[in-house]
Amino acid sequence: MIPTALMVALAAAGGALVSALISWLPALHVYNVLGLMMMGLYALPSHGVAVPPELILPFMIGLVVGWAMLNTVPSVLLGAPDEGAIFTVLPGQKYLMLGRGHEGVLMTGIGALAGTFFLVLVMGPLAPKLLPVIRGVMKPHMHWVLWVITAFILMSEWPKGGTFGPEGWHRFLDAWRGLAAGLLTFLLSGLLGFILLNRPPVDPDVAFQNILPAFVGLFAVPWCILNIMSAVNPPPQKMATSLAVNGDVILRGTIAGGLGGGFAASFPVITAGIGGLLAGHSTAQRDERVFIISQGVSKQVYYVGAFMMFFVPGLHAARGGGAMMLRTFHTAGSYYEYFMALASIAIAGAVAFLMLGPLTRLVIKFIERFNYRSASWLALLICLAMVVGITGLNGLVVMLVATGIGLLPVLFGSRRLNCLGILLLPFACNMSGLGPAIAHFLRLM
Amino acid sequence: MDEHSQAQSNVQEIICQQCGRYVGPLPRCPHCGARQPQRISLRALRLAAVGLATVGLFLLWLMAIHRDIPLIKIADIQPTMNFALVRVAGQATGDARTFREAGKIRSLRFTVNDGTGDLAINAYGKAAEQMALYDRIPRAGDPVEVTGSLTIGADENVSLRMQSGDALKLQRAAKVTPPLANVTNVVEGAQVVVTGAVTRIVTPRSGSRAPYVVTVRAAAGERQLVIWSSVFEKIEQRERLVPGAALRAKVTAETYKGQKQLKLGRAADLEILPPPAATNPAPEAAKP
Repeated sequence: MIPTALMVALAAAGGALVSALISWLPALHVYNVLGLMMMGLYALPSHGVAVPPELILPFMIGLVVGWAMLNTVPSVLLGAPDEGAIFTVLPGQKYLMLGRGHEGVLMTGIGALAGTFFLVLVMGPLAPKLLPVIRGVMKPHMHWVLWVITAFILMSEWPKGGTFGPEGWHRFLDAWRGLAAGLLTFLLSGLLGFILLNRPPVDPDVAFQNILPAFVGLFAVPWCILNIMSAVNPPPQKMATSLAVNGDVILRGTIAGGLGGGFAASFPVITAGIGGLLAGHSTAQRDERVFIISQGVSKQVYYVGAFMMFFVPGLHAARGGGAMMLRTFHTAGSYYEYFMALASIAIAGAVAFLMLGPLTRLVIKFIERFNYRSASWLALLICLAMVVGITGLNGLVVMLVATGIGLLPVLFGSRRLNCLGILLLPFACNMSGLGPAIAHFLRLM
Repeated sequence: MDEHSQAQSNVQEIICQQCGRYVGPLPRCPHCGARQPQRISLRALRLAAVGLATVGLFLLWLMAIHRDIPLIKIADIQPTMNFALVRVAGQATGDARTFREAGKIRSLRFTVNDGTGDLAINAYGKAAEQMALYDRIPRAGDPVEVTGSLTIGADENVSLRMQSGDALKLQRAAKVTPPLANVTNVVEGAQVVVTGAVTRIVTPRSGSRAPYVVTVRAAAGERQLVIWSSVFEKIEQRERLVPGAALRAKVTAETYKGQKQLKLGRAADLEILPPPAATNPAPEAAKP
């Protein structure tokens, strides 16, 4: 009989190891993998199999922790971010095109490790006392905060053109093209969100994954298409033996990323990308290295922190897709499970960080051998297989529409963050009491 | 791709693939007439993306609003159906419970049984208010069809959330409500008719959330009717509801703190009867 503590440690490390297999594939989001896993778990009791929580919970935590850290690899090397790593792509790609992709990944990885320390050592002891109070204070204000964030996202994008050519309408339109595309993206993705949340087109049997095809279409597929069409191949990558960062840079990145990720994790609908944007502006960190590290911290704190909140005693919160799925399967809230979760985060974080270097080298070898375009084709095929396999042809239709919307910011040079209108707009409307009226107007009710 | 191969690729794009002479951006070689491969325009891609997004979204909207919401059996609900928009048809197993705050209905809850199992139905905010406003709050035995989103928690904690008041199709149960005197053991949720004379009315203190308690002397003995303020205020001609008045009320049996009580669910279910016939003038038909 394996002692419980050993079982927890092995399961957490196992989750992190499995995450290494899935995280380098750009289209595979950990929540989709968790969704597939949940489908298997739901079927087990009917076959007379009972899985102890000490095995399944640390494994799931390991999976989330490992993926949040290791998914940096495709974000930087393959230029395919999820919605939480949108801002890592630009500086990451710059590092990649300078042959310093390995260094870029490791710097983001340092941020993720710092984020794990922040969660276990800072948030771990404070969360049971602090988070319920914060939640109680914030609850009546969430709707207007969401509107303010939405306004900030839309208004903080600046015209990118309009500097050449004759003065007048041509220059004005050139300047506003990107902005208009951003607004259109936000509006269309918001309308898509209204449809998906009020009349989900996918079958009821797989309704728990009804947002999956939209997210794949908005974030993963456009990058695959663009990479396939652009045919840009990165130069040979140098393996870094040291990194140009010091304690000051790490600390500044951790504070900025911790703020952004923590805000995103504790606030409904806000993702790490938005959290990172707000933290970047509020702390005004200009150093590119600080920015890269802060994005690693933000993403780790967002994904892992949101999942961790499910276990915080007295909080009763399910933030993020992973916790929402787990809620259908398990009720948490005891200190026993909370400390088990913290231990699993620490163990999985260590295992994942140790795997970051070897995994990065493997993916660089893969790109050098099969090129960027092949990796993008593979990712696109995985996207299609996953969407059709889980949500069927209706899901494929949703994915195609979402792809059209997701291509707008890529082709017009506006922010991809506008695609998060899919959640921001319907949730902000619902929280303000406007949602049902809009859904009625759209004949969705 | 290194700089040399990139440059080579650029040169290949401006010379004719057939004769090897300079073509530039022309679609056809001016020397040999061979058709030249063209790069796809970014402008065309942009227009295609805008078209795909807007037309696709419109078609998806059409698909969504024309799609029948599936009618499911409660026993068939699986955890993977969390957030699914479904319909459930069955009977309300008891009167809906309303939850009020500052005099307004904040939410209501009732349970539906479709023959395969029970499912808790919740309505919040405007949906609940709308149902109360149009007297569409289900009562025990009413056949209902409810549309809403499933919420599935651990330990088989399943409920359905109605998105609006229109999501409920309600038929009032056409049942014969027995008089209280004929009912020996009134079961929880059963509806009975009480007929008798009011002997006492206990009015709640100002600001209190307690209900009105009306004591009625019926054939089977004295009965106390519980009437919440929100219902009491809607009783027509309630000024006539004084000790000595005769009434007939359709009430529901409930248990509160271990005590059986009879609750008036709707103001329309209480009828204040005219005074006894002896005091009435002679009917028209009796006149010569």
